[in-house]
Parts: sequence; structure tokens; C-alpha cells
Amino acid sequence: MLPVIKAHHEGAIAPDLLDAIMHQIDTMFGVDGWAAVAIFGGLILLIPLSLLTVYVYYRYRLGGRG
Amino acid sequence: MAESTGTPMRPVQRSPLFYGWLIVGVCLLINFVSLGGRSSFTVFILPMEADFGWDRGAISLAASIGLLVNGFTQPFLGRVYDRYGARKVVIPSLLVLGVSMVLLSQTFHLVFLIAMYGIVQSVATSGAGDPITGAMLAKWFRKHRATVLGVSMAGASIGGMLLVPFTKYLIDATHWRTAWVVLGVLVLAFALPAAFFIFRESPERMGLRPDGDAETVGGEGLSRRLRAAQPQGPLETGSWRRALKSAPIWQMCGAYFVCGATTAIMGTHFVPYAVDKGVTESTAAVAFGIMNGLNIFGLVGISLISDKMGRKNLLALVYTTRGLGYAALLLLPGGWGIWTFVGIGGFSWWATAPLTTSLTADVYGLRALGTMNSIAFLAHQIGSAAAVQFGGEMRDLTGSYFIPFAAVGLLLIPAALSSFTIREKRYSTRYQSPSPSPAS
Repeated sequence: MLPVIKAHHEGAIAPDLLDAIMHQIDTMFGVDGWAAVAIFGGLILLIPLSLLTVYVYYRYRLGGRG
Repeated sequence: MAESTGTPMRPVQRSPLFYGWLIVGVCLLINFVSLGGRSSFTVFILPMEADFGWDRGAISLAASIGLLVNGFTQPFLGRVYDRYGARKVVIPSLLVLGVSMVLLSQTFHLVFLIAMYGIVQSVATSGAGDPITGAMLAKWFRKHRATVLGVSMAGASIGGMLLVPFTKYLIDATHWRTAWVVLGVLVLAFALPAAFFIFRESPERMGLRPDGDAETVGGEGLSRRLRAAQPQGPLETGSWRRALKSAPIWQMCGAYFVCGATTAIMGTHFVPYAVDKGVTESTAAVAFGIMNGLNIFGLVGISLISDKMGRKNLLALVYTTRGLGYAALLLLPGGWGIWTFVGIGGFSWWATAPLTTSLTADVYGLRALGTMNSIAFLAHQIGSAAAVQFGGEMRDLTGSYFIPFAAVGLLLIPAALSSFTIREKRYSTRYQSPSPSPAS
């Protein structure tokens, strides 16, 4: 049985390594809880919202086909 | 060319934004939520262990089964893509992926976790995976093929950097069941509609040309004649079976097997190895995090260069660089080895993926590219699984990671040689002259 997960195409890494990385993030930035959820959530939403903006601009301002 | 087709062509007004870039954005988003979401499984392990009393081995079984299912179903879904197109594979896969993530919030038994995560979600991940989205992007871009593949695949890296900590904090603030629902909603609310509304199979179907080159509108059959005028490589084929009888695909698959082995073993065993060398766990963790950040620059930078300079020499260089990183890790003392590995190894971490996909497209063409990419991906996954297991077993046997790391590191030499000896100039369409127009 594989002890942990792989670290490339699906990107998952060992839980202990991840735990240590997360601890370092906490120590460096001093954020946790809902503040961190809001910060990371905002960054995550930027990607689809940027795409939506470009699509709407393409479709309605440039009159693009699609 | 316009004169030689025999049918008058008139230029149409070009949009300042090539539609292919929207396709790249959707592929990046899909990699972000699907592969990034899958990466987040790691942060569910500890809370699910605590809730159900499962041991690490039991919960890892779901991940291991998922790894194998993902690898072995990929070629079949790649074949479905080649026959029916991306929309009919990717859109249902995203639907299943999102729903399965939401359903994982209802996990009540290990068998349910294995079925939902290890099987259902793994098949869906194959259907929306980068071997398939990459094959579609290869249709949209010829001159900038590796660059867009690199940008698209960077979505998975960014997903790992943002979604994993987001999920961890969300679990801390709420519950792991809530976190599964949120991940599923990200897929269903963003990636699925984006693919549904924006995905188009090829530029020709929109009256466009790859890379956004000058568009033309002409008489009936013009697009067929334009395609006929494209350079043809000697190995270009619509049959993956025929492709498997030629050398380049085996050279790339062999090297990709080593790629999987050399990255997966580090993802699992890097921290214990660093601790063995006297480096603290937190330093090792930061080092690994920095290495994963560097890979985005390596991924996009090397892809950009390869669109100017060709693929196979850069692919060999990437494997060589990674090999030098392994040598530094094993031979330099303590922290020097760790940080040198991070510095030179990080740039090579993901760069093999766009180079391999674009070289496969350049050599074998686009008609069976979904299947060909998927076969290479399978080789990668087998290498990953074997190396993780090998690393753990050898550590138990010898009490050190030196032998397993040295063994997989040495495999980078044949991987580099295998890539370097691919006869790109002979086989790649990038180096072929366009065939004469049939109408001339």
C-alpha cells in the first residue's frame, strides 16, 4: 500500500510536510481562522472572476464570435 | 497561399483578442479547481482520521486506489476525447467531479470514501485532466503551443498554493464536511459553466486559425485545403497503435516515467530525509514550499523558450538539471544540499509536462493526441506510484533514503539521454515544409 500520495500531476504531498508548511505560513503571516479563509478565498475567486470579465468583454464589447 | 487555393479569400475583421486565450483561461481554471482540489485531499486526512478512528494506512488506501484509477482510466478517456471532442468528455467529468466532492461531505464509511474519492472522482479527474485539455489547446495554438500548455498547467500549481491552505483553514474554522461542499461548489459554480459556455473544439470551427493568425473566409472546402497545406510530419497519425510502433513515444514515456518517480518520491519523503540530514522539519517544509513556488517560473519560462528553440534539447536539459539537483541533495552537507536542490530542482519540477505534450503533438499530430498524452501520463503515474513505494521500503530496509534517492536520481541520466536522442528535426511538424497546395 502506498503510504502517502504523490506530488506532481495531482500535486498532493505528505500530510506531515503539509502540516509543517502550514505552521510556517501561520508563523510568518500571523493569520489564521476566518481571516485566512477570507484572504485565500478572495485570491481563489480572482481567477474565475477575471475569466468572466474577459469573456464578457470579448462577447459584448468586441462582438467576438463564440 | 490565398492565390493558390483557387477560391478567392477575403480577410475578415480580426478581434483584438484571440478566442484561444479564453480557452487557455478555462483550462487554467479547470486545472486549478480539479487538480488543486485533488491536492487538498491531504488536509482531510487528519480530521477524517480523528472522526472515524481510521489509521493512516486505511485512508491512504483511498488515495492509492485513486492514483491508480486516475492513471489507468486516462488512456480510455483520452480515446473518447479523440473520437468525440473535449466538450463531451470534460463537461460531464466536471459535473461528476463537483458532485462527488459534495457527496464526500456525507462520508460515513471507508468503503464510501474509496468508492467516491478513489474511483468516481479519480475517473472524473481523468476526464478533466491536463492530458485532455492539453490536447485541445494544441489545436488552438501551434506557434505558442508549449507556452499555453505551460500557462494552463500553472493552474494546477496555483491551485496547490491557494486551495490547499484555503481548505486547511476552512476545516479549522468549520468542519471537513463543509470544506468538501465548498470545493465541490467551486467546480460546479465556476469551472463547469466556464467550460460549458466557452469551450470550442478547434479554431477552424469558429472560422479562426491557430494562434489567431490572419483569418480568411473563402469558398466551400477552403478550410480543408488550408489543413492540407499544413506541414505534415512523417509520423503523424490518427492511430495510437501505429504511433506506439515508433521510437519517440517510447522515448518520451520512458523519460516521463522517471519524471513521475523523481517528483513523487520527494513529495513523500523530503522532510524525513532532511531531518535525517540534521535540518529542522520547519526549514525543510519552507524549502519544499519555495521549490513548489519556483516551479511556476520554470514551467512558464521553459515553455516560452521551447516555442522559440524546440523541445527535445530543453526536455533533456530539464532532466539533467533535476539530476544535478539530486546530486547536490545527496552529496552536499546538510542545509547546503537541501537549498541547492530547491534552487536548481524547483525550476524543473513541472516543466517536463508542457514540453512532453507539445512534442507529442508536434511529432504525432492532433488526431490521436488525447490518447497519446494519456499513455504518457499513465507512464508518469506508474513511475510515481512505484517510486513512493520503493522509497518507503528501502528506508525501512537500509535505515536511510540515500539508496532510493540515488537510484531514482540516476534514472535521470537515461531520461535525459532518451529525450536528447529524439529526432525532433526529422519528425516534428515544426521542421517540415508545408505540402504543396492541391489546387496549385
